[in-house]
Amino acid sequence: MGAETTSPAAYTAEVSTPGDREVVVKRRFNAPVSLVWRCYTEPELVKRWLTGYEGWTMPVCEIDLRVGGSYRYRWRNSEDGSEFGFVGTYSRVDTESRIDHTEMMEGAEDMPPSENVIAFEPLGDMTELVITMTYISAEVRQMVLDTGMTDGMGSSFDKLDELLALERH
Amino acid sequence: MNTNQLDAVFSALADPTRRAMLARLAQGEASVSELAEPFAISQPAVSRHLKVLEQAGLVVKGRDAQRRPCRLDIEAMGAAQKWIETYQQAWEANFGRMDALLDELKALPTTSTGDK
Repeated sequence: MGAETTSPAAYTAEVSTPGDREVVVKRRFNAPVSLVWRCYTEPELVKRWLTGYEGWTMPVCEIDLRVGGSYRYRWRNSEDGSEFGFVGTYSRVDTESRIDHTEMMEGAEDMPPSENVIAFEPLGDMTELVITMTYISAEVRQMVLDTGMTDGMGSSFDKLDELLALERH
Repeated sequence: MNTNQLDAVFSALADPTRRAMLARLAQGEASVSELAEPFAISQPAVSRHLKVLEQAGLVVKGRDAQRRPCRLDIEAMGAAQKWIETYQQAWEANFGRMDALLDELKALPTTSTGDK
């Protein structure tokens, strides 16, 4: 397979909008399912990659991974101290295979949650991750995406480069 | 492109028949009857789909009164595409960090699951 010649940058996330309320994100990882699963479910590991924007950290990451259990994610902007978070509940947990959970903005729990499914597909020594997010309406999907994810993210690639440089020795 | 128009674009793209019609128009303009041909649906149904695509600004009808050819509006498609790319970059930043973390975990003896 020549795994050692494969750089992480060889994979890119595919984003599609198959319905009017869904967003699907697909990404391949050069690691077995067991490790990708750990990156998603162990708070100390999640905190190290799920930081999104440049300049954000993840001071709170609580995961009670069982059906009926809940999680709490909170991010903090080191520049201005602003914070936001997501909370939700697990409705299905198939170890190293699939997680179903709800997702709500912290402080906006009166809004209907989105329903997310994270599927971990083994591909030999690799893993394909498929995240399906279903929002309550097309409008809510648009709002979440406009406000939540899409600004100033490109600069995170710089952080990635630094991180990779640190790992390579 | 404002949020309302983007909503209209994504709603228009949500239907597989409409996506197939756009794929056909990406190859060149076509009349309503030409568009209806490959689909097992009536011409009125095709016209309804076309109306949705027109309202989203994805399809423009030509002026030729006889044929009324439909063609793709590349600019509107481009805006939707651009939006998806921006969102993709957000995920990519996270996943890039996850790649580095996975490499680190793979290098740890405690997580190895046997010889490569």
